Amino acid sequence: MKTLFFALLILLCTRTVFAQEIKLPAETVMYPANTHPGYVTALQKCLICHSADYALYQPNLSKAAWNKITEKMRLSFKAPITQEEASQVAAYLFETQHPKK
Amino acid sequence: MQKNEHSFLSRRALLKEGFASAVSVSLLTLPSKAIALNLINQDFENGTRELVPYPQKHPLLRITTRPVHLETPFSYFDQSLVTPNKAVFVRYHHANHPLHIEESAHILSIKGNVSRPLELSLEELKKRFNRISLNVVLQCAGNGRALSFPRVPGAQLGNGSMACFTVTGVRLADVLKAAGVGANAKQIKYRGRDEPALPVTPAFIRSLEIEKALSDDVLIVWAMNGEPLPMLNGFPIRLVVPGYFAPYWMKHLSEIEVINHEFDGWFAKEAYMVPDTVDNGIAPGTETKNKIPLKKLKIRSFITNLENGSKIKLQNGELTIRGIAFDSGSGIRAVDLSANGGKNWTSAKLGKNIGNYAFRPWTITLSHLKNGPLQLMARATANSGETQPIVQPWNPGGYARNVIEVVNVTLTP
Repeated sequence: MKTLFFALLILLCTRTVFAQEIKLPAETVMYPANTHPGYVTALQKCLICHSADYALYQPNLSKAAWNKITEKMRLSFKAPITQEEASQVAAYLFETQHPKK
Repeated sequence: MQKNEHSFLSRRALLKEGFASAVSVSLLTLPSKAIALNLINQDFENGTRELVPYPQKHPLLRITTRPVHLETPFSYFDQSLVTPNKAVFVRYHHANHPLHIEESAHILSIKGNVSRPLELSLEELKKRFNRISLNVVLQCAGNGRALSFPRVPGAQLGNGSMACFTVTGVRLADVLKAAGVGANAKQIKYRGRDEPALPVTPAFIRSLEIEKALSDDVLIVWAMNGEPLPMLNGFPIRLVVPGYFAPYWMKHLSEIEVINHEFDGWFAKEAYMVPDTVDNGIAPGTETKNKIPLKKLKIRSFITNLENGSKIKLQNGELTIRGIAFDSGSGIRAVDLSANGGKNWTSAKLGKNIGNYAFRPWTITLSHLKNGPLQLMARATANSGETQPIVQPWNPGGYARNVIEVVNVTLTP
């Protein structure tokens, strides 16, 4: 019994436990600052779930297309934003892509 | 390609020793000091991306930072038929994906409509079931999305979100049989250890028809190219569904439930859907009426040794072109090359077949070429008869691109 106990103890102690741990690099892309009310919402709400490059690396999209995206975030992914906030974020992202001259 | 100096990049990857371990290995030690920031300009609007070294990875194109989404620079596909683990692309759906996993603590549960629910460690998987190795192509459903015309929203991918590698694991069918699949089983519903940032967001849970789940080639794997899976590719185990797009290949696989109905979660019913038309295309800019899940890979081929827009020094009027082709598993029957915009096609020579689910290499040497512009197109044909379209069918998700790609080069003396 004693022998078995020590055999088990040795087995436990020598068993290699393999684990992986990684550290991710920092985020480098940020929503461009401006006075649009959607900017603050983007900072406060959009960044909860994803980095800014999700939005900023998109191709040029229409206002309707941006609205569809923010509504998808609100309704499908349950982003904690009101419909009004979602539409403000859409307007902000559209304006970021199409700056007024 | 542009290069800029930056000084914030610092990363390390490490293997952490367990509580009773004598192992402590530095898997990949990248310089923790400042390193140059590389930018790559791709052939589409708003297409400049950073090349960023991630843990256990070569510098890859950063598609998004959180959740991590990385694409393989296309030049890797010319360097070797099998993609090195460090070059394999990464794509997550939710920000809370695991960064630390202890292999022995990871358990795969098999539950639901089974007579013997199982809780399997990796050690048990290895002990109890027959070991299988297979060469497979993994491809993101949205590979090439950024090349859609008109452009569509979503992760803006070039053509580098694909890879070919050797996986080692066990058959899902053997595991399911050990659990005893009940009568009336319709699907498996399965997930991994990644979680959404907010608990209210639908988790990444996928489903697969039970017939497919019980087929011979669907595997639970722990190794890629003979090494443990990199963390960002699903350590310690991943579901592999050869011939199907990547969303079926669950990373950090932790739970499989046999169900008697059709799973209706968001990622099963709304995500990765394509129009239910012959070529999954609809008129550009219109809405999909009837949608179906995108499952099987479509046949593709690529020229890998010549970059679009490049200048090539002509030697003796000859040019050797090489590349890769793959389909969903019937195997590649032929690759043809056109040097005149698709009017005439010449057979390329197929290289070694390392499996019908893998990349198939091909090569062709053109002669009597003259200086000036040259338009090259490669077209693959599968044993199933499937071939590539000359015009890409458009779909709102930008999924399953497989058009005959065009590479324009200029031959110079």
